[in-house]
Parts: sequence; structure tokens; C-alpha cells
Amino acid sequence: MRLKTIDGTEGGNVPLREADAQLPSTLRLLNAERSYDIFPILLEEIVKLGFARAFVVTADFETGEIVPAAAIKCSESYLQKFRTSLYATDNPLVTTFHSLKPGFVSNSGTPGRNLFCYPVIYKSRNMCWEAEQARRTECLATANFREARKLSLEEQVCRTCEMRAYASLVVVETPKKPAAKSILELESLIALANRYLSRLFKVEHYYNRMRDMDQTIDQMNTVMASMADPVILTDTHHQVVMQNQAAGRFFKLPEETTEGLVRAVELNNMLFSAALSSMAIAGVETHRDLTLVDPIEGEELLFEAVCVPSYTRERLPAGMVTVMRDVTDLRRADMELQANYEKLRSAEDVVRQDRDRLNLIIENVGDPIVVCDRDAQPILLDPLAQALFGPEDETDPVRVANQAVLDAYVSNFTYSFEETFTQALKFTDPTSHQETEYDARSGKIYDERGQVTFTVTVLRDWTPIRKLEQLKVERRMLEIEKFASAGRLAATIAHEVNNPMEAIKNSIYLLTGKVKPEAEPVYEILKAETERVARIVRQMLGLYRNQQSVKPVDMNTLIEDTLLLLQRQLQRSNVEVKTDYGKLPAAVVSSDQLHQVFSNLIINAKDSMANGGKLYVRTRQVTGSDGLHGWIRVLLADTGSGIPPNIVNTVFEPFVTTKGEKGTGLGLWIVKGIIGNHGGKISVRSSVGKGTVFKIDLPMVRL
Amino acid sequence: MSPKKQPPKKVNKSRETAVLEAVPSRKTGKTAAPTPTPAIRSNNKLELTPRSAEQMSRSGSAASPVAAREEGVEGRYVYGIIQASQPKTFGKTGIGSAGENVYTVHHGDVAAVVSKTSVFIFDPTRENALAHEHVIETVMTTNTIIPMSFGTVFRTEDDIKEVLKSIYPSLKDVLKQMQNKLEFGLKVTWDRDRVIEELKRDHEEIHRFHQELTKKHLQSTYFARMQLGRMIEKALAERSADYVREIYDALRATCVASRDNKVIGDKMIMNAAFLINRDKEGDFDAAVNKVAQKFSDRLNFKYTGPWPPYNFVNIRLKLERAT
Repeated sequence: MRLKTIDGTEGGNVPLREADAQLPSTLRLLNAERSYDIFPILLEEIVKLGFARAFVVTADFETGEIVPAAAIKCSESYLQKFRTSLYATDNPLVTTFHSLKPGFVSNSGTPGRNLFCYPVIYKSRNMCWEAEQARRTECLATANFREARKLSLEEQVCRTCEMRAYASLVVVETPKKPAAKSILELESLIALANRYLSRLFKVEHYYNRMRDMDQTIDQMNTVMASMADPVILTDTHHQVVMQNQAAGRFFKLPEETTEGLVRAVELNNMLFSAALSSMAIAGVETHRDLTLVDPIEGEELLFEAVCVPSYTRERLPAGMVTVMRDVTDLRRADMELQANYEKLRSAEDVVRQDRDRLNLIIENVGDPIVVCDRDAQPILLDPLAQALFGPEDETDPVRVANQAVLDAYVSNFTYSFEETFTQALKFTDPTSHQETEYDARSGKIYDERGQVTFTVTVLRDWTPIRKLEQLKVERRMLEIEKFASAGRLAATIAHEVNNPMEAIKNSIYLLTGKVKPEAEPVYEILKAETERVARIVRQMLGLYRNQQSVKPVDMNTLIEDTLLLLQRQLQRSNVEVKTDYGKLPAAVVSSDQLHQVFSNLIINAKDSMANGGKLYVRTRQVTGSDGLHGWIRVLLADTGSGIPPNIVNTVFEPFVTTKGEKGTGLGLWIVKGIIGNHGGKISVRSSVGKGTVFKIDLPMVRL
Repeated sequence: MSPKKQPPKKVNKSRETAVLEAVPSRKTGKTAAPTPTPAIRSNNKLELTPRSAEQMSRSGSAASPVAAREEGVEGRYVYGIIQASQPKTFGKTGIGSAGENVYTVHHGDVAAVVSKTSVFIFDPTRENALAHEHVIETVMTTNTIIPMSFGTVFRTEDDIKEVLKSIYPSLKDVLKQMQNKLEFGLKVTWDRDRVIEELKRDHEEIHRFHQELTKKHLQSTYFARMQLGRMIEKALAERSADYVREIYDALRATCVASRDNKVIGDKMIMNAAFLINRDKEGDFDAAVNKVAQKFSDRLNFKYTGPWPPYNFVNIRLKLERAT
């Protein structure tokens, strides 16, 4: 006989073997390994007891229906009649089900037959593992077993583990008046089957539970593995119980390993143990910085370790869970921030100093300064510029006009391609209403795109400088005038002195040989001093004798003549003369006066070389920078004693001499006067003990 | 518009509309100068240059102390300054709805182009802005004009003469500078995202960094992403500066002056105005086209004009507050 389920498929995975069918019902039920095998066996055994047909309906708590679960010798249509709602309380079958007590129900479908209904629910003498673990008494299995209070069908859910238990009704068709014995037999068979069913159900419940836990563990592992933060579970002895992949990277040796890697892992383990010990003492959740070494890269990484003690169910210490957060980036960012902050601060400092310095400069430059932006709008005016363009009074026509001039100038400059600009601009002082011409000079500041960001314009008022120049010229004129009048005076005096001087000289000459021998030295002094006075007078006369006409002469010849004249004196003093004459144009000069210049200078040179030496004379034509004007340059250099530095700047002034009583101190004064009269320049360079160089530049005159 | 990318998107200056025309080599009679082929300039009337917008706000605030609307009192709206000794009129196209006559107020040989108005403060509406520009453009066809910013109103003609007198030398100076000059606008934009992709691909340092970043499995990338962002920002600035420098360099020879205005929006890298000699217009067009052609695969050029030299004239007429 084959057992069929409602839907016609074979019931159970384990086909009932013919041999099994011969076994006593107890053993057959015991043989069932799956809960779903129980009902088919039960129904078969019921039929064996002599009942016509039987079936099982079960409560489907999801749909709220009572649906047939297994049947024997029942047609499809017959079974359909028993399909009903859990809440159809007018149905006697449902009422019996709800009462959870076996009882008879009249069979409306088959007259003369009764239905014996026996509700089966999950019950067990022992509580489930969950309830035991949680130390709770509310286990569905024991509650059902004790039948301390009736549970409704809806309450067939364990309050401890939330497991939904089964609730089925075994329905057996009986005769109208069945034998009491057969019913007892039937009841004990069903009760037995339910005991087996409950046991199998419990096993299956645990099995499902294990599967769920496995799944949960897998999920947890995936989460742990994908965590970039190392997580480590240690026991009370700081031995690692579990660690995730990220932690393993630091603390576990891989199969293929190198010396460096081993060292890094060992170091990490040591560091971690030390950190763990110190954290364990605290006992509560603690944070700590921990530096580990990256075993692959060898870099130091900074972690923030958070350590939480873990406990057993009995609230006993079980160890520690340590989560390490990689804060290397954070630290790097912090360092960068710090560095940038420092940089910013020092830059700010520099900028402030620069600004203060610039402000100080701007305030003290004494010229109006205007800084404009890329739109040619003034953004900074110094106090002087403020006075010219300041916005105090927008309608002041003077300021408006000044602004217009500035605007026109600045915008022209800003957008042009010139890097600098110079232009004369006229502005009117708003208070004095005086118009002043300024020399505007502008420059640009560029950005990285090569475009103008700022322009700086400095306005220079040349009026004071022009005044100063004027003053200088006037003073010079005055000096020349003074010099000229002094010259005239000197010449007049010299002229007046000259005539009596000649008489004195003649008288002295006439006295020669007529002086008593004892008066001879006095006579000599008289003669020498008179000569000296005569010489001074002559020189004074020579200086002012500029009425002499000038004519073109060859400077080289003039110098050669002078040298020839002084040749014997020079030879006597053991002075070697070296000349280097350049090709010169004719010079328009007074040859007498120039003669005097050169003889003065050559004699000075000779006097400075008491023990002999060299005199260099060089002439050159020097072309001016404009190519039109030029100079005739004469250089006279000696290897003499030189001029002491304290008087070198005054040698061209009258009565300055290096020769003591021997010199008049007028020679160079006269030289300078003559050169000056010719529009030339004379300068001196001297070094004590080495010699002196005189440089004379005379203007070239085109004929 | 043709889907195929034409080098510089250049659209003719058309008076009433902002329609972009694809017709090459034709101008709608604004200037007589010949235009080389693929170039089309636009003069989008809706769009105020940042400069003129700025001027609007500035002049607006300057004028604020004057009573907003004084019924029955007549003021003079000033469009610009020209060189002229004899009175001129430019039609009944004055700002405001009255169609006032546009005429000149003289001081010596300079004159302000004005129209009468009873309104002292004009809202910068599209209609008013168009009227203002329309007058300036009309004047521009026959004169060199120093355009005034929008909304410059004087109380009396004497006030205007007073101002013309006070800044006469500057006006003469600027008029001389602007003689026979035209202004053109050039805005250059790029596809920022595309350039960033390009940088990630081609820029050695950024490419390497980006690769490293993508390899950082499950590790924190926040800091690195910030760094990359900064790197890209810097590279973008450098690249745009390079482009801008090159464009300016390419155009320098054909223009008299240039002005670098601030860019607007994320995509713009250059917002420039150029001052061109009237007879160099063709050369400038050619130079713009050449440089646009060169960068056609990466930059978009928007070339507009001719404009009055708004960007190169900085003279502000101050309102005389007569008592």
C-alpha cells in the first residue's frame, strides 16, 4: 500500500519499505528520522487498527487556515471539505482544535460516521537549550507538556527562542458508536506518534538553529575580513584567540616569509603585548596610540588602539577586544596642517613686516604714490596722493579733474603692453590751487597668467630739485665772479708792485760786489727773497693775462717745447721722461698760458722726485658719448713722493703747497684757473710714496 | 547649428536679438571692415559685460543721493563723450519711453551726447540697457566715443559743461587714444571634467597618484583623495594659465591693448577685451581664428564685437550736486 500526500506526491524522502510495514507501530515510528515521516506512518497504523480512513490537518499560521497535511484512504473532494479558517469557530473541528483536547465530532459528510479529533502540539518533558541557557522557565515544550494552562493555537510560539511550533489535528473516521477500547488504543498511538514527532521536531529545530548560526558566523567573518581596521580578540593571558585579516597582516607570519618580515611581525607582537598589558590594567574601555611596522613596506604606521574588556556569560573576564584605527593619514594630515599653519603664520609675519616697511617707505618717500588694480581702479593712495585725488569731496572740481587725468593715464598704461611708462602729468593742488607738473613713472605687477594685477605709479614733483639746480648754478656763477674779481685785483696789485719790484731788483744788482763781506749773507737773503716776490708777482700777472688771443696749436708740439726748455733741469735731477703722443686735432688755446700749465706741472713733478724718477707724458683724443664732442686728454704722471691725502683735495686752492717755504702755493691754483678759462677740467690722483697723476681734459674745437 | 564643431563660434552682432547665426563671413552692417571666412562674431545683446554690470552698480550708487524721481524736473542722461565743435543730433531714440531727441552739449571741441529725462535713476532693465547701448552704437558708427556707464544723469546742461571743462585735457587725451579703435570680447571656456580626465591619464604625477589610490584596497583614501584634488586643482590652474598666456601672446601683435577681466563660472578660463585699430580688424580676426583653430579640440572660443571701448575707458563723470 502506498501512502499519498494531498497533492499526490510521494510522502517523505524515505520510501517506506515493505519490511518496515510489517514491524510493530512503535518501532516503525522510532525508525522515522524526519518529522514529515511521522504522520504517514501514524495514519497507516491507524488504518491497521481497523479504522476506515484518517487524515491530518495542520494550522498554517501564515494564512490563518487549517489545511490537510496527510491523508489515507481519503479522496481529494472529501478532504477539501475540511479545509477551513482557523477562526471559523462555528466549525466543531476548529473548536476541538482550539480546545487542544481530543473529542468526537459528527461527520456531516458521511452520515452514520463520527470523526475522532486528536490535536497534536509540540511538547517535551525537558526544556529547550535556549531556555536552559537563558535560565527561563517559559519554554513552549515544557509549557505544552505540563498543560498548566491551555495555550491557544496562536500562542504556539516559544517565548524564549521565538520558535514557532507545529499544531496539527489528527482526524479519524469512526463508527457512530466505536468501542471504547479501540479509541483508547487510537489515543495512545497518536500520543506516542506525537512524542516521536516532538523529538524529531526538536532535533530539526536545533539543526536549523545550527545552520542559522553558521550563516551568522560566515557573515561575521566576512565583515571582519573586510574591515580595514585590525581587530583582535585576546584571552585573559593576552593570547590571540581570533584576529581579522587586517590584524593578521601585522601579527601573523605568512607561509612564505623573509627575515625582515619576521622581524617586523615579532616587533609588532611585542609592541602590541606591551600596549595590551598597560591597557588591561585600566580594565575599562581605553584608548592608546600604538606605532606598528608595516611588514611589507617597512613603514611606521600610527594606530589608535581601542581596547574593550570582554566577559563570559557568567560575567567573568574573558579577555580583550582590541580595535586599531589607522591614524597615519590623520597624523600626516595633522602634520601638514601644522606645517601649513606655521608657514601661513610666518608668511603672515613676513607680509605684515613687508607691509609695514612698505607703508613706512610710502609714507616717507615724499612723492605721491598710487597703486591701482587690474581694472585701473586706485586701491592704495599714500597721504600725498590722497591729498591730490582723495575722495573726501567727490564734487571738488579740482579733484575730479585730477582723477580724470590719473584715470586716463592709468587705464592707458594698464591695458597697454608696455612694462613701464613715464609721462609728465599736470595736477592741481586742491588747497593751494597751484598747478604742478609731475613726472609720472609706472610699473606693473603680473599674475601667473602673465596678466596685469597691479600697477604702481609714483609721481615725482621736480620743482624742488629744479630749484636746487638753479641755486647750484647761481652759486657757481658767484664763485666764478669772485675768482675773476680776485684775479683782477691780484693782477692790479701785481702790476702796481711789478714796477717798484723791477727798481728794487736793479738796485740789488747794482749793489753786487759793493757789499761788505760781513753783510754778504744778508745781501744774499735780500737777493733771494726779492727774486721770490718777483716770481709771485709774475705768476699773478700771467694768470690774468687772458686777453691774449687764442689760436690753433698742436698740443703735442707745445708739450715737447716745454720739455725741451726744462730738459736740463730734468736731467740734473735725474728724471727720465717717457712720452706717448697720440694723434690729436689742433687745440684752440693760448699757447703761453698752456706753456705755463705744463711747466708748472713738470717742475712740480721734478721737485717731488728729489732722487730722480720717471715722468710719463701721454696725450690722447677722447670721443664723447654723443660722438660729436670730444676732449684732448693730457696725462702727466710722476714716480715722486706724492701728495698727502689731507691736502690732495685742496691742492688747486691758493697757498697750498707740499714744498714748504720753497713753494708759493699758487702754481696749481693758477694751472686750474687757466684750464678752467679754456673750458677744460683738471683732476689729480696721488698716492704717497708712489707718485701723482694729473689729468687734463681740454675741449676739442671743430674748426 | 551644425553639429560639426566650427572653430571659433562667432556670431554676427545683431541688433534686436540674441540669436546665434551660423552664417559665416557676414556682418550686419555694423562695421565696414571685411571679415575673414569662418569667423562669426556674436554680440549677444542680453549679455552685459561684467564691466558694464559693475559700472551700472557703481553709477547707481553714485547717483543715489539724487532724488529718485522728481516729476517735472528735467535732467540730462549722458551716453558718452565725443569730439565735436558743431551741434549734432542722433535721432529720437533717447532712453526712457518718451523717444527723446539725442543731441550734443558742447564745451569747446568736446561734446557730451545726451537726451532729456525726467527720471534720475534708471533701473538696469533689458529695455533701458538696450536703449543706452543703441545710442552709443549709433554714435560709434560716425564718431569716436568715450562711452559712459549706464545711468549717468546730470541735472542741467551747465553741470555737464562744467564737468567737461574741468576734465577737458583728460577727455582730449582719451579721445585721442580711442581714435579709430574698436573693442572686441573673447571668452574662452573648457570642459573642466574632460580636462580632469585628461590629467588623470596624461599628467605623470597625477596619473601615478590616481593609480595608487585605486589600488588602496579597503584602506582609508580620504587624505589621498584630498591630496589628489589639490594636485588636480593646481594642474588645472597651471594648464589654464598656459593656455591663456599662449592666447594672449598670439593676439598681442594685432591689438593695441588688452584687458583681462575676471572669469565667470566654472568653465571659463579667459574673459578678455581687446582694443583694435580699425584697420587691423581683419588681422585680429585672422589671429583669433588661428588660435581658436589650434585649440579647437579642447577650448571653446566666444568672440564678440565690435563694441564701444567700454573696457578701456575709465573716466567717471561725477554728478554735480547743485544746491
